[in-house]
Amino acid sequence: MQNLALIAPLIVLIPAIGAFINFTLGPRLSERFVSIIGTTASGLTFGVAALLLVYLHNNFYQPVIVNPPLINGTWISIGTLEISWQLRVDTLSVTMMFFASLVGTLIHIYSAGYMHGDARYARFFAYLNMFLAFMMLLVSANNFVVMFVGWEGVGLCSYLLIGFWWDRSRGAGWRNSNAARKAMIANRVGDFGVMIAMFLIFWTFGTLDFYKPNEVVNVNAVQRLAEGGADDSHSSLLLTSTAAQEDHGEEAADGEHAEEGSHGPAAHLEYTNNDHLALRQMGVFGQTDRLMALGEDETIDFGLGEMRGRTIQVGQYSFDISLMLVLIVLFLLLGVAGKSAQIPLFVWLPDAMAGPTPASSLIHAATMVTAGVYMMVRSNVFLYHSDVASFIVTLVGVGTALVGGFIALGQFDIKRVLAYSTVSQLGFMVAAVGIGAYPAAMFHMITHAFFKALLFMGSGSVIHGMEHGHHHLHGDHKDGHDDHGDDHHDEKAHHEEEFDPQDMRNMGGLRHKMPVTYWTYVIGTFALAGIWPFAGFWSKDEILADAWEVGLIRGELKGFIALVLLIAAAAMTAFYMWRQIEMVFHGKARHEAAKHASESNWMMTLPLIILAVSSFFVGFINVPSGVGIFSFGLENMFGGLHSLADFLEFSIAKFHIPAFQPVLAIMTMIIGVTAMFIASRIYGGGRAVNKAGKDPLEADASTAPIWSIANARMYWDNIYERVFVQPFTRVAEGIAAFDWNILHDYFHDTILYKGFNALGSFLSRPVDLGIIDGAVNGMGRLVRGTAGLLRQAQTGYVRVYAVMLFLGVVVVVVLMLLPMIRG
Amino acid sequence: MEFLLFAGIGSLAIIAAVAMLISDNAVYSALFLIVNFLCVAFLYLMLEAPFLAMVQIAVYAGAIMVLFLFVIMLLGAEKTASKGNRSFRWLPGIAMGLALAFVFSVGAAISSGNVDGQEPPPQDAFVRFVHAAPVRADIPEGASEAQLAIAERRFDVLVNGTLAVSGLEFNDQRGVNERYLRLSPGEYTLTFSPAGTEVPFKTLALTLDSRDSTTVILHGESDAGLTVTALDDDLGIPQSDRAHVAVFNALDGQDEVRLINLVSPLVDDWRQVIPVSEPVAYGTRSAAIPVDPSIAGSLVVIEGGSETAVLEGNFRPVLVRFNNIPGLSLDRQQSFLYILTGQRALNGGLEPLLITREDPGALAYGDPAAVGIRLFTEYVLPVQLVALLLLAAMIGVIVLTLRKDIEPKPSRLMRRKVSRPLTAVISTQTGSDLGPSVPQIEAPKSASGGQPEPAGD
Amino acid sequence: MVQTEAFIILSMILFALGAMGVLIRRNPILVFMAVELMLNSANLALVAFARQWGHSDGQIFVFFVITVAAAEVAVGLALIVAIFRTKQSINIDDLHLMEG
Repeated sequence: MQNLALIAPLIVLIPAIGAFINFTLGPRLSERFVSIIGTTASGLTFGVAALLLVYLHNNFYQPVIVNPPLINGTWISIGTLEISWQLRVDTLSVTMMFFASLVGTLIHIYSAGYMHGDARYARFFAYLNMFLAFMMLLVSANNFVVMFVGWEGVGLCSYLLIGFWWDRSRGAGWRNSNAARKAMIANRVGDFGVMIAMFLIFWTFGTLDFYKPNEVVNVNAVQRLAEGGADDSHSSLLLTSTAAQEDHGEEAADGEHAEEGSHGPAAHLEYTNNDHLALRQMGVFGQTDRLMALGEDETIDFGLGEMRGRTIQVGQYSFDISLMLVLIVLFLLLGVAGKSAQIPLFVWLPDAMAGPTPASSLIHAATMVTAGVYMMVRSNVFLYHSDVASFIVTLVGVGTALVGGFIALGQFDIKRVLAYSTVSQLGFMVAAVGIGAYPAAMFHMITHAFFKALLFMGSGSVIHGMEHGHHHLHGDHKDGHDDHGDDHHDEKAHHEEEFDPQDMRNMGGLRHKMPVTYWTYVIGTFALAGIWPFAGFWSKDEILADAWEVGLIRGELKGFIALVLLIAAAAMTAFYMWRQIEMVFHGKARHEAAKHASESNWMMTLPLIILAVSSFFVGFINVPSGVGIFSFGLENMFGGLHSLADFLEFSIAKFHIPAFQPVLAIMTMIIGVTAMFIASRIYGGGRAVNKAGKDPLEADASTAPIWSIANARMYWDNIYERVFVQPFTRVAEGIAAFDWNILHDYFHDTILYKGFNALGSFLSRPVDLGIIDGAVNGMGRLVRGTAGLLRQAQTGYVRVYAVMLFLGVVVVVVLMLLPMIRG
Repeated sequence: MEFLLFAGIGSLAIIAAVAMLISDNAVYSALFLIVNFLCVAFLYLMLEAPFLAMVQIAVYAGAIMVLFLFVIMLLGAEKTASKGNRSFRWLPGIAMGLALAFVFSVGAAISSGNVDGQEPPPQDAFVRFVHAAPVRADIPEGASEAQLAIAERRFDVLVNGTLAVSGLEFNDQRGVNERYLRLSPGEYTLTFSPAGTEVPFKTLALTLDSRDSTTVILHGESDAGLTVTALDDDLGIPQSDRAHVAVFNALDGQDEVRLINLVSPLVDDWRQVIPVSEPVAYGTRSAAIPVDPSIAGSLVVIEGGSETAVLEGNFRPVLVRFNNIPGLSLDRQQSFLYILTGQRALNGGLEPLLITREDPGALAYGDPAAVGIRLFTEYVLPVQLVALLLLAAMIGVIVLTLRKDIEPKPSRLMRRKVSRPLTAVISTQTGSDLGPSVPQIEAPKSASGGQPEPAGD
Repeated sequence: MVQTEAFIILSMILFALGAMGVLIRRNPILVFMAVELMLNSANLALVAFARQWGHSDGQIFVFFVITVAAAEVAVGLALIVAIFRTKQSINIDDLHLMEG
């Protein structure tokens, strides 16, 4: 049984193979085949995740570190840095795996119909599979570096998927690619944060592994488990497993790292705490615990004779470890802000709606954006030990929740509203992480995945119906038109008016035209707003209960802030969601297209129904104790009260479940219902859009300024444009101008080219021709001149020669006789 | 008187030269030049160069001028030339000037210099060595090499320290001339040392002048008595056609010797003896005595004595009879030096021996024989080279005057068709171009070599 | 005997006459004859000195000179013949082809 964990590498491998096949062979295969490959890969991934879940269930939720075969051994080994391709199979990662692959599979099925007829059909499925592979790698990594590989990979896939329709005509393609670029850049800023955090982690701890082998994550839980446990849920674990543990204790296939999770209760658990481990043998989180427990000058044995204390040496500077932790968490927060769309990097998420709806709903609702939250949950030890950092995290999360909710109030695009709603809900999750409610954050993540996906797909269905109505209206009976976002604007150029099927002002009264969509949408809205007994109620309430406990009972400021402001954000959520319902489904149709809209086909409505049902039931995986009959006993479907929390307990060191606060729950629900009521008063009854086409809040003078800020998306994008993009563009243009005009034109043309020519002509004419040739030719001329002069002595006449001869003779004779003549 | 002759002949030569120069007729000029040559030949005779005079006449006047005349006739150059160009008007003036300059300078040199007093450059002197000391009778045993050499009378001659003659031995060659050792004039130290060693045994200081001819004779019987004597070969004999004889007494033990003519016919029971030479003391030489070749057979060297004793018939025993010397002939006009020495007889005694040396002496100056001898001994190489030159000149002349274009006498047949070259004919008939390899037949032109227009001076 | 100086003077006069003849006369054959005259004068000087010094080397040299003169005359006259066969003129002034 323990060997089952060895299939963990398949969870990355299967979607990778599927992506590879669709990349290489896809264009040549039929659409059906491509979709089958993609969906099968995704389904198999889900199967592996389920198997891993079973494995863990049979293994007392003990984590396992799996070394993938064929790449056994270290990936990077530089000095003391050792990073290996290790996968971690523990409850947290399996939770993520399970839900991500489940949603992913559903999206694959949805896309099979949605993307029908697209030119790059196979590419899309390849991207989806690739995304799934990277996501799986992200959540199953055992160290920060491998997680970062998955982190960047999902960022890449998000870019590819957002900009999938980059080749649309008339500017739509540019819109898509700009959105993709925006997402990439925002993510990149976040990646920078994660990288700096990783460097700091390495400097502080000397390793980047989460947990090393034989390390116990949650000592309390394990000890409770070993002792038989007073918790009834644990006893159930024990009861079911006692009989089946006889054959445990054998070594794993690769004997180097014995899976420590292969231990049974009490006698079979090898270690119940980490005291036997030296610091060197622990991952970053274990080291943090120990180091933070040290006093000012205390040192503990690192292993191999080295002693370490609270002081961390970075170059020539030394810091206390608490300061390091703060820095680490803040840089990780930067990463989360990029990936999970927090302030200040959330601006990419609304624009990401330019991508195909499956991509939007999968990635930007359910999976990718949760990666940041996952990382935070994984780093719970850091947050626990650093009050300052967790306070800031809480603030960021709360602020995001408020900002997102506020902007959603003023949007008219149906998908924009949902996008900002996602931002807001992510803020909820990050705030929960900030106050220490890790299981609550995970719970909310899961439930949010379901109902947000439901809402997105519902909006897709609405848009689809609007387009159908539009065609019907204009006698265009082309079938097979799916909503492809803004593309319809361009393809319908022959229409006199611009028709945006996503604009809620054009909708209205669709509840009768698209009932299934309507009712599933309503369920999703209730779930999102946190209305009992839908999923959002349980998860949002968990967070608020935690905030209550942290803020009011424990008295920490962050909890108090979180409590108050999250309640406000929840109210806003309910308000804008009901506004949307009123505008879209209630009232009268405000456009001809809405009048003629019709329900989508079963391929689109079926997943809606499934998701709606799931949105109802998924909330019961983590029912808090003390609810009583209000949970209808449905928690027993999933193994009892807070079974998710129990599941996650062994993976989260600083595990904490709040007590159920009934007052809080009731109050929250009342606030939500009230908000919905107010919304129905403002927007209901045909008042959704007044005569001038304005929103009621916009028309009202007292609320108009606030509303316009919300409509303008709080000028976030404008500010970024002004502060970052324009200066950057100007600098780039300036440099380009410099390069072209000065370097190219002046330097190259004038100085280099002309200078070289001048030098060449100088050397060739005056120097070479003048001096050198002159010298050489001059020599020749000199010789010729002299010869010309001298040759005149050669007259050719014998007698002249004879005269010369005789003259010479006389001269010689005279010279020779001179002494004699004298003497 | 001689000078008058010279002046006359000289003037004649000058006049002939001038006439040659100003004559219009080339043949006249040649004849005048011949006259000049004859004058020069006569002057050669006056200068005691008979050979050259004859050569001058034979070659110059006889051959060269004849050649000149031939060519003049051939070219028809005897006539006066046309006016010719007058472009060289300045030339006679300059020539006159240069000639006068030459004459004046040489004349000044002659008048201020001392032509007659010029010393000829020194010529080499000749030295020859004659070993006239007989070998000792007893040769010691076990003596050193030097002593052995001395005993065997083997000597090396070192001239100023360097070995000149090695292994000079007592030889009894007769009538053979030796090569002379040529030495430049100066002072020399001749050292006789035992052969193989360089230990001086006997030394002689010698001063050599230019063209001296010296004979160095080693004579003596005993070791201590070995003497080296140098004789000047110039016997001081004038030029005559008679042989001369001189005797050197190198016979140790004979104080005097005498050369007499022993005449055979008996008169009054007296042998007619005619003393030829004076008594010659040991180690000296007699004067040169002219000797009639007819008395060659009756020359005898006797021991010295007074004349009276000889006349009285009371003469000492004959030492050497000349007719015993084979190969000796007094026919030639030569001078002989006879060296009287002795050789060891079997009984240990000393028998007289005559070593003959021809006197190189002063060869007759200007003697054709002398010139011939010198030509073919010292100047052989130049003679051969000149002969080669003559040969080359002959060939050159033939080549130069060869006429390549010996065209056959144009036949009448060809004369008709001469207007059309053969090449064209062939080419039109065969259609092929034979090219320029076929020589063109030109119309005859100046077959006689050309009768040039009368050209002269 | 006659002074050597006299002979030298005679030789000198003859040489000068010969040189003048070379320069003045236009007929090449006559030029040649003047050259012979010069040679002869040199020979005379040689013999005179030989007699003065008593060497016969001078005479031997004269012998060579005479021989070489003979050869030279032969070749020279052949040249003249060859040249003037083509030129048809016996004026050395007409020979100036080798002018520079």
